[in-house]
Amino acid sequence: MSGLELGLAWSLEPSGSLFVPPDSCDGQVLRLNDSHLFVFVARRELVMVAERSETRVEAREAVLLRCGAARSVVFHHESGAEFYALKFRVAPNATRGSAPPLFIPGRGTVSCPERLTDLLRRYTTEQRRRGSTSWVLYNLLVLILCEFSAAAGGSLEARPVSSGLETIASMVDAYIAAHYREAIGTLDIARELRYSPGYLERAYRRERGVSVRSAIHMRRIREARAQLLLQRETHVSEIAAQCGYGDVAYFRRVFKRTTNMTPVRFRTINSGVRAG
Amino acid sequence: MERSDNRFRFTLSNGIEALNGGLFVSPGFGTHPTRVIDSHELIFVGQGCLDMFEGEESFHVAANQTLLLFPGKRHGGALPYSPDVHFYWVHFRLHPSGAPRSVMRVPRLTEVRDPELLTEMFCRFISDQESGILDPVSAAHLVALMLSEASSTEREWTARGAASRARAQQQVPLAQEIGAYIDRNFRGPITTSSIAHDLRRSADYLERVFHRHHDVSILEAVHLKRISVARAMLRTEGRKNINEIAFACGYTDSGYFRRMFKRLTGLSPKKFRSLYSRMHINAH
Repeated sequence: MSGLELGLAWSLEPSGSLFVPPDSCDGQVLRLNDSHLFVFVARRELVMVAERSETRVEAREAVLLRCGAARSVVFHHESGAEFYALKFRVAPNATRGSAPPLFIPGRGTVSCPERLTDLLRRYTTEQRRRGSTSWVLYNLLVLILCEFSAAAGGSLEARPVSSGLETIASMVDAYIAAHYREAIGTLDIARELRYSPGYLERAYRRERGVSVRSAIHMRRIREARAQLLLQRETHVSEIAAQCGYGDVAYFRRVFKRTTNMTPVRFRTINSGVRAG
Repeated sequence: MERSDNRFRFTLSNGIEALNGGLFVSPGFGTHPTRVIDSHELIFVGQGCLDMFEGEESFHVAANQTLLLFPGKRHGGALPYSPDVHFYWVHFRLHPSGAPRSVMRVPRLTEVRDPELLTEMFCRFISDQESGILDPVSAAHLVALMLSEASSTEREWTARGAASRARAQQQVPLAQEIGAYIDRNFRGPITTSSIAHDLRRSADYLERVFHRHHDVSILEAVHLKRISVARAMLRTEGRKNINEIAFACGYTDSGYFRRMFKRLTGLSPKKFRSLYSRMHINAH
């Protein structure tokens, strides 16, 4: 007896994927061509610009973009961001058979990102491999969508009681959001929230994976990037000051480190993009 | 596909219904029971060997091999369990609907191309099943991936000219020899030129032959082998620290090991361990 012959049918058609590792440059464009798009951010954060609307996706968050919502998407991110984007279509002859439908949220935060990253990496590796079939990719894609659906559904309906460290990190985030235009540092936040700077730093790093200092920078630079495009005639030093940097040279250094280009260059290459 | 409020609705079916799965670890005595079941069963031997019969045929399943059993046929152990055997198993049913778009052939008995990948799929299946979070759709699609791992051995030859294929066929022994050399020596310092020296060929020639057959460079293949072994060690050897594992896999610099591991798996060694060691414990 020779074995099993398995007739294969699948209802989703994988149509390309993108993995953006931490050291890649900003502003990649992905054409959608009538595909749905699934994006998962493993590290840092990402701003997706599609048809002039911006979607911010944070670390451990995933979004599902409906086909036809945009013809292409531009990915803006700071250096160090890491994310996956998968395109797929619903197969034209998809059997609407007896299988129960699966509901997948359009957006959600994943509680165990490792489980998803493991599948996504397998997907991108499999796609690079010569001769790998759409059957394998299809099955992986479904696992990814199910994983996201289960993980995100749970966190949307009943977010688990947040841990003490998570509460501290949220308080730090809230403080930064309110005060990033001022000259604040880790010490100010620690004093304000009544924690020792060392403990605060450890707690924040543990929950968010970055230092408080760099979270402040990230918030400021994000604002600077938006303002550079909104206020095209305003001098860079003025925008630096608006975003909490008194020293424009220091601002330029931080901007260059996180964005891989100078503020002026960022403004030039994004001359067609309107923020806001 | 339709959209209701913010959610997406998909109908996902691949014609497979997954039943249950498990890991069997030899108690050192006993024989697989003789029985007839009403589903298919895929067996994957992780260690040791398993002697089974089905109908009139008997099978010697060695480590890293899979055996496929059919419903309605009498099967059982041909010999008592070997003392060191452990194997994963999963039961499934097939419900073909409509016209298939393609056909996959799963042999009765086959050597798996990437045993670590298949092991990890079984771990995910069993662990999720035990903790009650395995939904039927994920289960069905995991089984499909397991079957496809157990099906493909020679997929590289599609879409190649006959002439280049004939020439390439002659180089198969050499490509395999390089692969075997990597398997024997990956724990030590190993470079393309050291392989070339030991096999008495030019490094360029080896690189061309190897790349043609395996689609990766020799150096990449060395890293893939090392990281694959590291994955298995991280999963099973909880007492070894990352530096020891790096060293055991041929990396003298553990920072370099961490970077390679992250690049090839998407996860840091520590996160990978926490993901799969949890699954490993549950599987027992």
